[in-house]
Amino acid sequence: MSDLKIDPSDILQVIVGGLAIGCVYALVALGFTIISNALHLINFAQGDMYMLGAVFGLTFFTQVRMPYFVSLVTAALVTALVGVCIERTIFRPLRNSPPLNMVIATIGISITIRAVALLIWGSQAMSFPAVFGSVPVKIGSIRIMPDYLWILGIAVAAMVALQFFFKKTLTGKAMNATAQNRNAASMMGINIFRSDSLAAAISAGLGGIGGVLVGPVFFVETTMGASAALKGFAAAVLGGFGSVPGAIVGGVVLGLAENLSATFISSTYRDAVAFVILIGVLIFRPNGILGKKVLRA
Amino acid sequence: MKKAVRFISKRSALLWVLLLIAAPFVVRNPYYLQLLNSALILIIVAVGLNLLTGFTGQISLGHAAFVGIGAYISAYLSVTMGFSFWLALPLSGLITGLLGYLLGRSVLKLKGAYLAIASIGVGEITMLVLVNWTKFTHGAEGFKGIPSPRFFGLAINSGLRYYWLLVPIVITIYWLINTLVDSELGRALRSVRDEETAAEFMGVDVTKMKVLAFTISAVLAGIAGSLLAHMYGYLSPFSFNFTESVSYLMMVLAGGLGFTWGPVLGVLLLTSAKELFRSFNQYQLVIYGLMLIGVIVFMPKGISGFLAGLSTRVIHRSHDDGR
Repeated sequence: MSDLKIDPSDILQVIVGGLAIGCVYALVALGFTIISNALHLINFAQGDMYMLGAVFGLTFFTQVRMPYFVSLVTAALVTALVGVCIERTIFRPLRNSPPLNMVIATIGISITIRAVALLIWGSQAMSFPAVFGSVPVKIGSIRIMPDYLWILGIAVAAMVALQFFFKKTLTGKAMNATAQNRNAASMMGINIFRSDSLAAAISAGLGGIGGVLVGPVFFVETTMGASAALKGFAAAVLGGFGSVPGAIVGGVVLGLAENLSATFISSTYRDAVAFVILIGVLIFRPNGILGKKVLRA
Repeated sequence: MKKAVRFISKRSALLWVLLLIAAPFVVRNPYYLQLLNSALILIIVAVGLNLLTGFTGQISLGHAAFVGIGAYISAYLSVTMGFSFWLALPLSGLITGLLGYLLGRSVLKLKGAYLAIASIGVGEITMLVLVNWTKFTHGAEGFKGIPSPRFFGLAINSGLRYYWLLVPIVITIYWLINTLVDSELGRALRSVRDEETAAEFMGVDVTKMKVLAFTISAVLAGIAGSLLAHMYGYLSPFSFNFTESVSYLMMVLAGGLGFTWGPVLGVLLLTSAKELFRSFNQYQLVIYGLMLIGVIVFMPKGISGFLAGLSTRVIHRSHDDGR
C-alpha cells in the first residue's frame, strides 16, 4: 500500500474509519474507567462484555429477528445484567481482599465467559448481515461506508447520554460521590451497594453496545473480547486511567493511529500498534494525556 | 510449631526426591513419561512465576512469551548456528533473562494490574513477531528439526533419557530458588509483596527487587523453553499464547502462592486435571476459569495454604490432647 500514490479522499476515508473504531474503543475504555473508579479493580472481563454484546446482538437480530436498534438495546441490557450478576456474586464478597486476588478473579471470570460462549456459539466467525446497506454515502468527492457513520453517531450519542447521566441526574451524582468517598456517601444516605451494581451494569452495558456496533463491520467471534479488552485498556491508559474524558480521547486517538498505520506502514502489525502505544505510554507518560496523578511515575 | 512445619517439609523433600527417582520405574508408558517430562519443565516455569507472583506480588500474564523466546533462541542457536545444546541452554536462559530485565526495568515501575496488562501486550507482540519474522522463526509453519541433546556421544532422544536430563536441572533450580527465598534478599522480596510503602521506608529498593524477581523468572522461563524445544524437536509459534500464560498462573495459584511446594503441587494437579478432562476438551477452559474463581473465593492460599492450615490444626489438636 505504502508505495501507491494516496488520494486525499482515501485519507479522509481512513480517518473516518479510524474515528468510528476509535469510538468503539472509547466505549470499552469507558467501561474500564467506570468500574475501576467505583470498585477499584481492573476488570479483565471487560472485553468479554463487548463479545457478549456482539453475540447477543447477532442472535437477537438474526434468530429472534428483532430490528437492529431493538437488538442493540436488548443486547446492551442483557450484558448489563451479566455485569450486575458478576458484581453481586464475585466482586462484592471479594471487596476487601488484596488487589492481586481481585485481578486473578476477573481473569477467571473472563476465561469462564469466553469458554461458555464458545460452547454456545461455537468457534466459527459469524458474519452480521449488512444492516446499514453497502452503498457508500457520498459527501462531495468522498465516499464513506454508512456503517462507520452509524457507529460514530450511536457511540457519540451513548457517550453524551453517559455524561448527562453523571452530571445531571441524582443517581449519577450519587455514583460519583460513592466513587470519591464510600463512607461519606454512605453517611449521606446514598445506597453504595446500588451504586456498585449500577457501575458494573453501566460498564458492562457500554462494552455490549460497542460489540453490537462493530458486529456489522467485523466478524463476530467468541475470542473477539481479548483484543478489544487490550485496546480499550490501552485507550484508557493513553487518555489517563480513571478519567472519563481521557477514555474518550484515548479511544479516538488509538483508533486513528491504528487505522493510519495499517494503511501507511504495514497492516501485518496492525494489532501491535495498540500494544506498542500502551507500553510506550506506561513507560514514558504513565498519567496519560488527560490523567490525574493516579500512577506512580 | 514453625519447627514442626519445617521438619515436615524437610521430610517431604526427601520423599519427593525418592518419588522422582522411583517415577520412571513405575511410569513405563512412553506417553505418560512424556507427560511427566513436560510437567518437570512446567515446574521450572512455575517456580520462577511463584517467585514473581507468590513472593514478590507481581502478576505476569505473558510468561508464555518468555518460554517461547527461550525455545526459539535455543532452536535458532542449535539449528541455524550449529551450537551444542549445552551452550544453547544457558544462552537461551541468559538472553531471555536480559530481555526480561530490559522489559522489567521499564514496566515494573507500574503497580499490580498495570503490569499484568502490559505483560499481556508483551505476550501478544511476541506471538506476532514469532509468526511474522519468518527469517528467524520459520513463521506459522513452525520450527522443525531441533536436534536432541547429546551427552558424551549419547543422544538424549528417548523419554527416559530426557527424564534423567531434567531431574538434576529441576532439583538444582528448585534448590537455588528456595535458598534465595530463605535469604535476606528473599525477605526483601516478600516485604515488597506485603507492604510496598513500608518496605521502601525500611530501605528496600522496591523497583530493583521487582526487576530482580522478574528477571529471574524470565531466565527460568527461557531455560524451560529451551528444554521444551529440544524435547519436542518442533516449535509452533501458536503454542505460546495467552491461554498458556494463564495456565502457568493457574498452576502457581492452585498450588499456593508464596509456598515453596506450591508450584510443584500446582503443576502436578493441573497436569493431571488436564489429562483427566482431556475427553471433555471443550469444557477445559470453563473448568479452568471456574477453578480460578473458586480458588480465589474459597481457597485464596491454594492447596499448600489449605494443607498448612490443616496440619497446624492437627498439631494444635494433638497439643490440646496432650494437656
